[in-house]
Amino acid sequence: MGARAKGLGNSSTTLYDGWSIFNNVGGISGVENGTAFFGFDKYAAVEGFDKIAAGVIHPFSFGNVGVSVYRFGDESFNEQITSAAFGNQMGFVRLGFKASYYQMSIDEFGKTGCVYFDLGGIVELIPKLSFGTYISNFTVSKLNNVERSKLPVVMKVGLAYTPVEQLRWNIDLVKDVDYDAALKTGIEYVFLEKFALRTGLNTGPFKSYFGAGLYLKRFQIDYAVGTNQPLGTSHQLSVSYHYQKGDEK
Amino acid sequence: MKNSTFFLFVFLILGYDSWAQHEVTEKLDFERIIEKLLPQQEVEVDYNDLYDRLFTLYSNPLDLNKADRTDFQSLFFLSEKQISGILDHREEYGNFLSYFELLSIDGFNEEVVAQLTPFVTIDLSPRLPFKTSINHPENHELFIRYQTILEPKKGYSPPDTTNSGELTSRYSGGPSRLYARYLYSKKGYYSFGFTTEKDPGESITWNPDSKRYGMDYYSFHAMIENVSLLKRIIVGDFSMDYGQGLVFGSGIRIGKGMEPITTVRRNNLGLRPYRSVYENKDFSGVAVSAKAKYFEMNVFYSGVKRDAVLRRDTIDESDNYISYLQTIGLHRTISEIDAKHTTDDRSFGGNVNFKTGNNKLEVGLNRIYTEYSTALIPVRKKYNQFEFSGTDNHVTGGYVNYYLKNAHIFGEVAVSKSKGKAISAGVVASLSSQLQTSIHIRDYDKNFHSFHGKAFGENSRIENEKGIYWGMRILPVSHLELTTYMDFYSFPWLKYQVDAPSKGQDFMVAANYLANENLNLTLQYRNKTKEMNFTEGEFPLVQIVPKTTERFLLDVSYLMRSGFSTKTRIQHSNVSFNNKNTNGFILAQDISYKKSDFSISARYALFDTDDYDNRQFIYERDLLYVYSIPFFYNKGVRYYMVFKYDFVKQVSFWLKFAQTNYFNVANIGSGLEEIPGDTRSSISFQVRFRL
Repeated sequence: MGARAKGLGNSSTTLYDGWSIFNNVGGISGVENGTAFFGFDKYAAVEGFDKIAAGVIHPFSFGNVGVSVYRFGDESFNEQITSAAFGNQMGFVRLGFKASYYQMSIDEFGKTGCVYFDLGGIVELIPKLSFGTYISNFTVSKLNNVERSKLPVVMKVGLAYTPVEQLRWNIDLVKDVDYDAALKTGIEYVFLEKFALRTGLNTGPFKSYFGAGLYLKRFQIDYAVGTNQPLGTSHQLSVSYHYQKGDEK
Repeated sequence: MKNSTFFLFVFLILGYDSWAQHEVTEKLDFERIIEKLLPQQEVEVDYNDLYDRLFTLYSNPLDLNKADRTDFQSLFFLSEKQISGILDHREEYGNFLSYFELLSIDGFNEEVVAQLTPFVTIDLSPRLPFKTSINHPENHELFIRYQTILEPKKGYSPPDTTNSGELTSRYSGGPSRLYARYLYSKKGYYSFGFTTEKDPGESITWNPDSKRYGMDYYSFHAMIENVSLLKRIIVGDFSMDYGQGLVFGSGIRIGKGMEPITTVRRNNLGLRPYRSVYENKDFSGVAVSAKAKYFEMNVFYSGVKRDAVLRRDTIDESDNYISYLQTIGLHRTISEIDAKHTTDDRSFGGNVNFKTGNNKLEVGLNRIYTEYSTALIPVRKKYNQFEFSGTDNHVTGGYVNYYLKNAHIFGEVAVSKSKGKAISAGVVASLSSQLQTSIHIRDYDKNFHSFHGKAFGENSRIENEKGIYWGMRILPVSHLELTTYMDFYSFPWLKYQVDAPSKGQDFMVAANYLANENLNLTLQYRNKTKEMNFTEGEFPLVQIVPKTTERFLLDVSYLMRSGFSTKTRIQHSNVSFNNKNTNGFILAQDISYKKSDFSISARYALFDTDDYDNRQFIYERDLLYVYSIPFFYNKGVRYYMVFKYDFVKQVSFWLKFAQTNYFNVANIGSGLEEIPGDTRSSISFQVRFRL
């Protein structure tokens, strides 16, 4: 989640901002000032695939703590995830841990859910090159009261190359145990210190993404659009608010 | 000559520890080298033995001032140019007093020296009298290990009763693997050792009728070295390597891997004690090696008990015979226990080796005579009609090693009792500091029989194969290493599941980039083709169709100063056979942390393969001396944690917990090995006492 990540084709394993709580929990330790964020994602032509997400990351002396909520779907089928996360930076390494409660609700079948856990890390290998890795549901949790219903385990590894501060190239490999591995890549270019343009590509299935961002003092506003045949285009808008100034921390 | 600040700089980079410390065991270097050397795994072969031998080789450092060319070759990672450099330097300037001197030799840089130092030592003290040395062993240690699977396998459940009232087969013992090893040794002086093991399913019982005496497996050796003309005397289990392995070749059968140059030749490692737990030991008996000036002579007598099912001739009910030897060493069920140690393998043989004074030329002769106590008569099929049949065999081979500048030319020709011949020959050369190459040819007759040989090739036995191999290593710029090999082979006669003469080729290309001392990137691509039987529907004619396996590997390892290290590995495979394509994939993330007396290493891996052909072999950290390259297929996750702690200097403790969790299977394994459910967990621990 996060329109910045989406603009980069969801090649988000090496990003470190508030939205990292969704994309790679290792990245939340990169949030320097208390941040609250909100976003939603909607298909232009199809109902029932809406995503809404929100969260807060707050830095403490012992590390960064975050909470988030996420909802996908509509009344007849929806998934909700509530998470609490902790992240810390040690030298060149950012590490994070997340505990989530997943709930699925289907009209005729009722509700089921389970607790699952994520782990993630980002490390700067050499200057300008960083590497991220993320494991979602590493405990292989199963839905309560449902036979043979393991939540998928997803592993992501990614590289980010930042030749200059304004330019970032991400490449991720994402493997869900139930689907073929997919490559996701994205480029971000920041100009005039306030504006960002992004584009991304995915393989298997092929998808393309475009996005833009506006960085203000307290606010960051991002927008992204993605194509996904046969569902058509989807749009995402997200807003982050830094409720702490740099020196208030 | 380089200046002293440079030396100081190198000294700081390499760290003082690496000069003094010879415990290679915890070194990443060792794992890297082993991983490079080990044959690319594609069949279920137990490489524990090979690992064990390499480990023994590497954990006994060579004396930089005494080691000869063969000793240096046995390290596998030095080029001919580098070895010549060391020997010439020694000749010209006398003994090495410090490792820094290596840096003045052409072909050595900090990386090479850093890689070499854990495996060599400089010992300028005079030779000790035997009586004094016996009280000062180099190694004096005892290992005790326990491993078990936590889920109950079917083989350990109570037996069912069949319709005829018989009980179904079950394992006689418990699910644990127990192992102990004791070693008292000093390199160049003596070695005394003892190994014992019980595999999962085997019982600890005293029952001479079924040849069970407590533990299931024992191995021991006593060796004394360098007593006047006698180079070595071994009583107990031993192995021998001379020539190119056509007659004598021990478990160190390194095949094609990421190291394309030095692995094509076999080294004259000579007589060595056998310490492995691999139950199909080479020899057991008495062996003597004597040396006089240019000549060296080895003779031995060995009697090893092998496993085989005894069969009785149905027409003439007089004699027993066996149709094949079992080599896995498992004695769990009644039928496996019945086959235990039924056949004696009595061998008598030797070797004469001549070396010229300038060490440029070496020639030798190998001969072995082997007799089985029971006739070996294979069940006749079309493909195996040239295989050995009978009770006795002899093999004779002659070999040569010739050194010309930075090239090593080697070869061996052998003939067995059947008149079948085998040739293995090649050249390993450093054309410049940046380019090394190797060429190897092999031609093994379909009726060549060698029971104790192991030579370069595709087949596990030295028979029915012709091939030409070419390998190359290029160091185009510093920190970048490119390696490649091509191997073309043919099998002039039929093989198991190949009903016609067949052929194939194997191609590999790899790049290794050491970005800095902490970051290492490896990329490898391999493409291998072999022909296999294929039958289409009910059409009765068997066709021979090529089967191509492509394997891709990406590995990123990163070492942090804080003691943390991470490693990410991605492997992908694609198998195409008769217009059908299948894929396999594994992604593994490792993280390790190491402090002086404590280390922990963990992995999380996710695998997804279409079929067994695409199973993914992946190297795992394990307890010290346990080699593990498990393979995975189906869909699932694999994770483990290995923990090591040194209580005191003399006592170290290892613990490993591992689990595999499948997404698309209801039960794991089949037959007596079947585990109900989708999870398989193992736990193992080990203690080492250094006395």
